[in-house]
Amino acid sequence: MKKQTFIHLLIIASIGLLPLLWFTSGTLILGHDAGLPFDPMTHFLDRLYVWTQRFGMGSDQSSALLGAVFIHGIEALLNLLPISLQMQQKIQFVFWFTLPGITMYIFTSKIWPEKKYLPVVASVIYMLNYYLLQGWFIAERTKFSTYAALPLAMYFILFYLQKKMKLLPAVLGAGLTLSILNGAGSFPLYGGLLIAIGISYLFILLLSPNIKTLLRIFYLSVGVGVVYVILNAYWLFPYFSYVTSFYGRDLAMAGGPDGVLNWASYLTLHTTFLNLFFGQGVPDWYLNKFHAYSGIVLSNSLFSFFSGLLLLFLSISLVVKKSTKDNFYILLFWIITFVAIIFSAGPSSPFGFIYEFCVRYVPGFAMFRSSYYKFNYAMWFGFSVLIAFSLDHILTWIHKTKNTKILIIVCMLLLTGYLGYHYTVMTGGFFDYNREPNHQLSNRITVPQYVFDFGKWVNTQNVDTRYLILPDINDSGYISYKWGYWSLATINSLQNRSSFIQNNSLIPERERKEIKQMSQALLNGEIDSFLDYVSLFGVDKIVLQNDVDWDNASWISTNPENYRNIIEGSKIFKKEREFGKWAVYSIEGSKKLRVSASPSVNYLEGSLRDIVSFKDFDATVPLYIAGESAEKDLYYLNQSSNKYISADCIECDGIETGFKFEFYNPKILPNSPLYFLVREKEDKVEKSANDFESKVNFYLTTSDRRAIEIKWMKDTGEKSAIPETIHRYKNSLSALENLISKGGSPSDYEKNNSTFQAVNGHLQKQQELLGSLGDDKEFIEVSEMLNKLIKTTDGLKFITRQLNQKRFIINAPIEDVYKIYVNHPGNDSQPDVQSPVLTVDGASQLFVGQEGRWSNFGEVALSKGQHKIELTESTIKNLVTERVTFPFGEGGINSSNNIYTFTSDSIGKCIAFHIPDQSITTDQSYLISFAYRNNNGPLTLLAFVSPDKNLSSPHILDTKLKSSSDWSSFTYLVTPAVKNTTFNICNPNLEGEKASKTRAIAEISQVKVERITYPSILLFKKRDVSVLADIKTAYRKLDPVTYSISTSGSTGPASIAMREYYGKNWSLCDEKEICSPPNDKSHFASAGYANGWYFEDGLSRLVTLRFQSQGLYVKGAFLSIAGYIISVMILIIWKKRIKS
Amino acid sequence: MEKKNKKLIKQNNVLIRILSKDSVRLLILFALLIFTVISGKFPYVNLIANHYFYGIGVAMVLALLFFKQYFNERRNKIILICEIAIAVVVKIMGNQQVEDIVGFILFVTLLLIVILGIASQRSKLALYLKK
Repeated sequence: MKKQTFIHLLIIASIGLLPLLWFTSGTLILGHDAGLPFDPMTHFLDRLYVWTQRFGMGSDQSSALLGAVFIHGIEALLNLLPISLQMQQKIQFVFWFTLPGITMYIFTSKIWPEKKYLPVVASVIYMLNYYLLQGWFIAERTKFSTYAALPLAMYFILFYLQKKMKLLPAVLGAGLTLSILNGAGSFPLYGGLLIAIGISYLFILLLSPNIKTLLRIFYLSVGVGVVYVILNAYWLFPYFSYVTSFYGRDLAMAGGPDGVLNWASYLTLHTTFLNLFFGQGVPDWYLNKFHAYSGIVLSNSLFSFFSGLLLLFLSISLVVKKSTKDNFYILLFWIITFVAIIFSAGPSSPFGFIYEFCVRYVPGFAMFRSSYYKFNYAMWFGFSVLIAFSLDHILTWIHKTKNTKILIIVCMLLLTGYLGYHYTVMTGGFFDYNREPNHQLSNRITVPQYVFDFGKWVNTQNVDTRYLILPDINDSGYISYKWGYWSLATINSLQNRSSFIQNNSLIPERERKEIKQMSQALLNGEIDSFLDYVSLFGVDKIVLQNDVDWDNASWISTNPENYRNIIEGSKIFKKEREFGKWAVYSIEGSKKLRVSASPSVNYLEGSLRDIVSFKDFDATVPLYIAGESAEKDLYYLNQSSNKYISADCIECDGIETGFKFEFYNPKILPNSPLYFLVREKEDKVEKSANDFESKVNFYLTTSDRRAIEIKWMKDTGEKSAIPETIHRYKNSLSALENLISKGGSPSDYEKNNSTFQAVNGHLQKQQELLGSLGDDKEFIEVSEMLNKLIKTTDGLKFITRQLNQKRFIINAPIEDVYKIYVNHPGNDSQPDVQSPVLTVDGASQLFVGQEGRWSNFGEVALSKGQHKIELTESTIKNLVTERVTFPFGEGGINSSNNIYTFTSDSIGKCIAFHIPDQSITTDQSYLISFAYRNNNGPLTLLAFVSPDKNLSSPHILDTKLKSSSDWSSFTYLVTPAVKNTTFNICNPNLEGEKASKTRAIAEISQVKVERITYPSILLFKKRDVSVLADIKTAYRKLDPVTYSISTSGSTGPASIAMREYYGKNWSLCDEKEICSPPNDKSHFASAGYANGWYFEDGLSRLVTLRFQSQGLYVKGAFLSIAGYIISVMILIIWKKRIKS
Repeated sequence: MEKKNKKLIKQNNVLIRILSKDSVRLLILFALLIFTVISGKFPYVNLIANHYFYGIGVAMVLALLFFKQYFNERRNKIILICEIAIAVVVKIMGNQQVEDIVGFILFVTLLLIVILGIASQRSKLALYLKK
C-alpha cells in the first residue's frame, strides 16, 4: 500500500470512529423509525420467513424489507460475540459510517489516481454531510446501504462504458455491489442510483451516439439486471408476487397520484434550489420546530457563510482549467447534480412539472413520494466529487508553491471547519430529535433491564402464545414509555417472535379499532364481551405495562392503573410473572384457540362489537363476516348455522355526516364568450344521467355552480348575466324538486338517506352563499325555493337529532322470522337500560325481558331487504347541573330564565357549567349542545377548563359560532382527554382584537351535555346443528409458515380457523398434499381477520397449513446462494487470469 | 413579385438592423422580464403570472444568445462569484421569495455554463471516449 493511500485511509477511518462519541454511559440507539432491534438474533431469524408474527396477528413481510438479510445479518453476527448491545451498536455504526467513505475512495482513486487530495476529500464529504446526518438520527441502514453502493456501482458502469473494463467483471462487480448493498430491498431508495446511472448512459450516448455504445449499454444493463435478479431472488420472488397483487391498493392508500403529489409538496416546501445548493433543504429541518440542530444551522450567519463556501467550491470545479478527462467527469457529475436537484425539490420547484409528470404517468414512480430522501443522495454524490475536485485544484496549487506549512494549515482548517460545520456529529446531539421544552424526545435512551428480561423470558415460551398488551394506545399510534422509548413500532416487534396484539398503527385500521374495543370492554368491566374478544383473537395472556407515558398530552391514553385495578380485582386473571413495571397475567378458563375446528360456520353482517357477549354467540366457531364478495356472502349465508345481522345506527353520535361542497373559481362565467363550453358539458352530463342518483347529482352540481357563478359575478361587479343565471338556477332547483318528490329507491333507505342528506347539506350551503349577497329582490324567490327544498329533504331523511331516539336501518338477507335483541352499554352488574321502546317499520316490538345487557324483543318476521328501526332509550339525560359559576368574573354576563347573555362588557369572561363528578369518564364520547343567537359575526368560543388547572384566562378551543340572528343550535362532540367536571362557554379576548362596545351580544340557552351511546340491534336466526359431532383438533406450529394439525376428522360439513391474519397465500393441504387454491371460496377471513376454511365434504384427519409464498422465498434463496458462489468463483478465476 | 421580394428583404434588413443594436436587445430583455414579473393586472399576463420563473429562465437564455460576445471566461467567473455572494447574503436575510428567485437564477446560470461546456467540448469528449 502506498504511503499516500495509507494516510488517506487513516483519515477516513479516524472520521469513521466518530460514532464512538455518540454513546453516553449505558445508552442505546432505539426508537422512532430506527428499527434497531432489542434482540438482533431473533430479529434476524424472523427475516428468513415471509410470514411474521411481529406485527400483531401476523403479516406478510414480502414487501417489508425482506432483503435486509445483510443488514440484520451483521447485527446478528455481532450478537453472537460476547459483548454488550451497546458495543454491538458501536461496531455496526462505525461500519456504516465508514463504508460510504471507503466506496467513494475506491471510485475516485480509480478515476483520478494521479490526484493527491481528491479521493480523500470526496470520501470525507460523502461520509459526512447533512443529508446523511438526517438519516443517522434513525441509523437508517437501508439508506446507507444504497448510498454506499452508488460510487462502487458507478465505477463498474463507467469503466465498462469507457472500455476500461470487460463486460463480465463489470456486470458481476455492479451486480454484486447492488445485491449486497441492496437497500434491504426497498426500491424507493434506488431513486438516486437510477438518476446517476441513467444520466451516465445518456451522457455517454450524447457524446458517442452510435449503435456500439447503445449495445454496450444494453449488454451492461441486461447483465447487471440478470445478476441482480439472481442474487436477490430470495426476496424479489415473493416481492414480485406481492407487488402484482397489491401495488394498486397501496397506491390508492397513498391517495393516488394526487395524494402522492400533495405529500411530496408538503415535504419539499423548503427544499428549494438555493437551499439544495447550500447543502440544506432537509424537510425535517423546517417541519420540526424543535429539530435537534437545524435552528442553529439555519439562523446562524456563520453556518450560512460556510454553506456558501460549499457552493463556491462546487462552482469552482466549473470554471478552472481542466484536461479532457476531467471535463468529461466534471460535466457528467454536474448533470447528475442538476437532475438530482430537480427531482429532490419535488413538485413545487420551477421544474416540478417533471416530477409531477413522472408521478402521474410513469408506472411505479409514485413510490418516490418522499422525493428529497429518495433522490438527494445522487446530488451529494455529485457534490462530493465536484467540491473535492475544486479543493484538489487549490491544494495542488499550494503544494506546487512548496510551502508545506501553509498546506498543512489549510488542510487542518478545512477539516476542522468541515467537522465544526457538522458539529452535532461530534456529540450525537442529532439523536435528540425533539427539543420542545418538557416534551424532549431522543433515540438515545437507557433501556430498563426488565425490558430485556421480559424479552428473554418470552422467547423461551411457546411461540404460539399470543399476548394482549395493555394499556391501549392513543389513536395517533405513538408508543411512548416513561424511560424515553418513542416509536410507531412496538418493543415486542423488535425483540420477540411471539404474537403481541395492541391497537398500534402497524395493523389494519379495522383490527386496530376492534382491539381497542376489546381493551375498552375490559376497562368498562364488560368481562363477558372481553372474553368473547379473547376467543375471537386467540389471546392467551395479558401483558400490562405500567411504564407507559400515558399522560402526555400529545398521545394521551389510559392510565395503566385503571387496568390493573380491574385485572387484579377479577378472579379470572392471575398474575404469572412480573418484570419490573411489566406484569404478565394468564386468563383463567381461556382455551388455546390458535387453531380450532367446528362442524358449523357462523354468519355475521356487522362488526364484532355487535355480537360479543351475546348469549347465543360461540366465539370459538369460525365466523364469516359478510362483505368479502356477493358470491361468498350468499354461499356462507346458506351454509351457516347461526346468522347474526346487526343494524346500522344513523348518526348515533348526533353529529351530521359531512358532505363535500367547495366554493371554487368557476373560471368561465356566464358572460364569457367561452361559456358555451360549460353549457355543452352540462348538456352532455344531463343526457348521460339516467338513474335517480346521477340525476340528483347532476342537478345538485349545476345548482351549486349557478350559486357560485352568481356570487362570483356579484363580487366582481359583472352583473349583466345575473338575471339569466338566476333563471337557470331556478330551473335546476325545480328539476331537483320534481325528482325528489318522486322519492329515491323504494327500499334502499341507506342510499336515500345519504342522497337526501347530501342534497340538504348542499342546499343549505347555497342558501348561505346567497344570503351573504344581501336582501335583493332577485334572490328572495330563489331563497324561498331553497327553503322549501331544504324542508322537504329534512323530512325525507331518516335521522333524528334526539340522542335518546336512535334510528337504524337493518338489511335482512333473506325473508325469515328473526329474534331481535338490543345491546346496551354498561357493565355486567348494572346494565345501563330502562324499558327501551323498539319499533320495526313503524310497528312496536314487545319487550320480552332483560338478559344481562341484552334486551329481548321477541321475534319479528321480515321480508328480504332493508327495514327501518327506531329505538327510544330513557336513560340518556342531560348531565349539566343547574349550578353555574363564572371563573373570570360575572361582569357583563346576564342570566334570566336560563338564557345567558354575553354583553359587550363580557370580553374575557366565561360561564362554567358543572357536571357531577361520577358522570363523566375519559373513555366515553359526549355531545355538548346549546342554542344560541349571535348577531354580528363570530363571538363565542367553547373551552374546556379543568378545575385544577387554575387558568388565568380561558383556554380556547378552535370552535367559533357562526353568525345567526335566529336561534340556532350548536353541537360539539368531545371525548375528554382528562376528567373534566366543568366546561366553559366564553366570550374570549381574541388576539389582536380591540375591546369594542360594538361587539356583538350573544345569547346562550338549553345547554346540554349528553353521553353518546352506541347500542347494537341484532337479528338472530339459529339453525340446529347439535346432531353434528364436535371436531377435536391438536396442532403444532412447525415454523412461522407451517402448522401441522391433526383432527378427529369429519365427513360432514367442517370449518377450521387459524387465528393469524388472513392471507390469500395461506392454504390448507390434506394428507395427500392436495392444497386449497388461493382465492377459493372455501377460504375466508374468519371474524374479519383470521384464516378460516369451510368444507361441505368434511375434513381429513391430518392437515397442514402453509403460507405458500415461503416456497418462492426458498426457491429464490437457493438461486441466490448459487448465484453468489458462481459470481465469486468467476471473479477469482478472472483475477487469476489477469495475473498470469 | 420582385417588388414584393424587395419589400421583404428591406423589412428583414430593418429587423436585423434593429436587433443588431445592443440597446434594442437589452430593451427586449427588460420588456420580457417586466412582462413576466408583473402579475394580476392583465388577463394575458395572468396566464404566466404563476410561472414567472420560466420567463426569467427564457430571459437568461436570450441574454446569453444576444450578448454571447461579451461573455468571456473571466466575466463568467465574475458573474458566478457575484451570484454566489448575492446568494449567501439572501440566505442570511432569509426571505423565501427572494431565495426562490436567486436559487433559480443560480441554477440556470450553472446549467447554461454546463450546457455551453458540453457544446464546446463535445468533439474532444467524444474523442476521449473513443480512446
